[in-house]
Amino acid sequence: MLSRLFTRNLWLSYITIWIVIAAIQFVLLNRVYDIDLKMAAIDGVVSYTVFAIIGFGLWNMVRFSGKQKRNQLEMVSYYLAGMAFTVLFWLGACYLILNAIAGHNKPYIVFLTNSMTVRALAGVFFYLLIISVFYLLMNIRELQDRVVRETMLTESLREAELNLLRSQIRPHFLFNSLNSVSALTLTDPAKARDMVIKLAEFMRYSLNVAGEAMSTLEQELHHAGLYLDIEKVRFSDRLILSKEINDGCFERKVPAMILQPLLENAVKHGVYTMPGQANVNLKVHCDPAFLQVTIGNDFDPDAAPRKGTGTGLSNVQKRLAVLYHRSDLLQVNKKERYFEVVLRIPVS
Amino acid sequence: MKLKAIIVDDEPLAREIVSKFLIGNNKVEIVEECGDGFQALKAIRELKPDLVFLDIQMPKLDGFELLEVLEQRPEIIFATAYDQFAIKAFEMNAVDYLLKPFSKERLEAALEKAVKRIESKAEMPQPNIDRMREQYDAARGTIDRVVTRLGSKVTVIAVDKIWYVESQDDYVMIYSELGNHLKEKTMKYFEEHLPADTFVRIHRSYIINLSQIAAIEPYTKDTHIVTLKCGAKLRASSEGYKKLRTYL
Repeated sequence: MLSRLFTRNLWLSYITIWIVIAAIQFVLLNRVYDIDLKMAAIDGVVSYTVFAIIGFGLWNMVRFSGKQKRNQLEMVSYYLAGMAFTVLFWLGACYLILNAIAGHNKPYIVFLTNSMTVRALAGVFFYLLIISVFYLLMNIRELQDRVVRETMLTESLREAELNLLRSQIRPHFLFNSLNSVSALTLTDPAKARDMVIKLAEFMRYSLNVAGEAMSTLEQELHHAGLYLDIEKVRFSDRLILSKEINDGCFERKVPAMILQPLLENAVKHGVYTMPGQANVNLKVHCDPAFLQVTIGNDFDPDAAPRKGTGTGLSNVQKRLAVLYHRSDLLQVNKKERYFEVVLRIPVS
Repeated sequence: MKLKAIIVDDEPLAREIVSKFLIGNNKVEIVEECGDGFQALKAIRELKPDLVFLDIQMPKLDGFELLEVLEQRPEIIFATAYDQFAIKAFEMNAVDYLLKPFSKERLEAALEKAVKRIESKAEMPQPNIDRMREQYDAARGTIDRVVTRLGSKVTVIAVDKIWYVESQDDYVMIYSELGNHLKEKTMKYFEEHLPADTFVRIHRSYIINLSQIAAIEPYTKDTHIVTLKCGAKLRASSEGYKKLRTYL
């Protein structure tokens, strides 16, 4: 603790301050009280070396008091006792040392004895000063500690949250897909094998990417494509997909696992709620500042969608907010029978 | 004679695997396959099957909603991929259910039990569908649509289209964009299951949709009159008004 308080700069400041005070006393004794140069210097050095050493003790005292919960009366008596002890100890130690050094110099010893009241007042002043400064320092340190701890905590929470938001594979989707595979093994083993491979690839990407923040559009489109292929097997001709992707966007960086949840949302509100066919449209284009992805789907306005609505969208919204500190990157347009989300990814 | 069965599932392959598993089975015969709840409702009414293989999550009308509006319920074998709320309701009522994907053996075992229940209809305890439905809603928390039936006409009302709900003895009347519909449920049920951020019970007899409020005026010392956009003037009790005020 002491070492942490007294970093190099603080050490230097601490020593400098005492040297300055000692120098002031030296000048004062020499000019005002006519003490000879040598004795004035010894007096200054001895007095404030002793106080500087007592200062370390006071730091521990402040630190200790900060850890204990006391009421105001207790605090006041604690510091008053500290003050009495400090001043008495300081004066006593100085007197003994100076007497031992300059016992033969009678006029100086008389001056020393007479100046004790003034010295006591100076002692009280330095005591209060040092305690206030230490108190302030301690609080600043604690505040810094807390800020550091809180930042670390939010960082790790953010990390955990991002991983969670990224890696969600809905069990409903997984088990229904496995059921489709089970059905295909009876009628079309080649298609079943194809579906298992796609499922595996889909899951592998979801798992691998969980540790990474960014991916490329190409990878994201591939992953979303796997998802859509699987859904197309499940729903066959009920899912009608159209894609329109500008060349030249494929290498753009995008947050990992950002497209699939949006497409899943479109499929869920389109195909899951409509008994007939449902269109899902995917459009991607890019300019120097943004990559824009538009995903639209038909929906049935009369069918109140079942639970889970919006969680996919709000997850994406949250991730964008964490990554870009902006809340305007995902826009939702709801028309009478058509739902559209527009995702804009800034070029970083 | 073979039992008549219908398969209800919105995924073609999920229907296919049930019918494929049942090829050569001498106890049941698949007479129809349906892709959504409304088709199923029509088919069950017309064909009166003995047995229905029923998925829970479907467009338009889900498995439980379908059962709720059916006048006569056939024997049901539930199938679901992953719906922890439905599974909870099944388990609370000791109902057999299939978890997708399932094996042929597992399907045959469920079928065996169902056939036994059909053959000894009187003696075997039948699952309480209404209670199951309630437990399903309770597990899910809020509802997002209400299904009503008048004669053979079934209406699905999304909760955001409801203006207000009024108690009428053992029933409640639901006033909505889609008209007025009577439902055999308690006010308590609607108070608990309509989304709490949009619906408030302002009186023993009324639950209103907050977005429908047009005006609120004092009436007697303790009570207020709430006018809705549809023109209805409803009384709010002092307690109801207090609740209402916290939202405004």
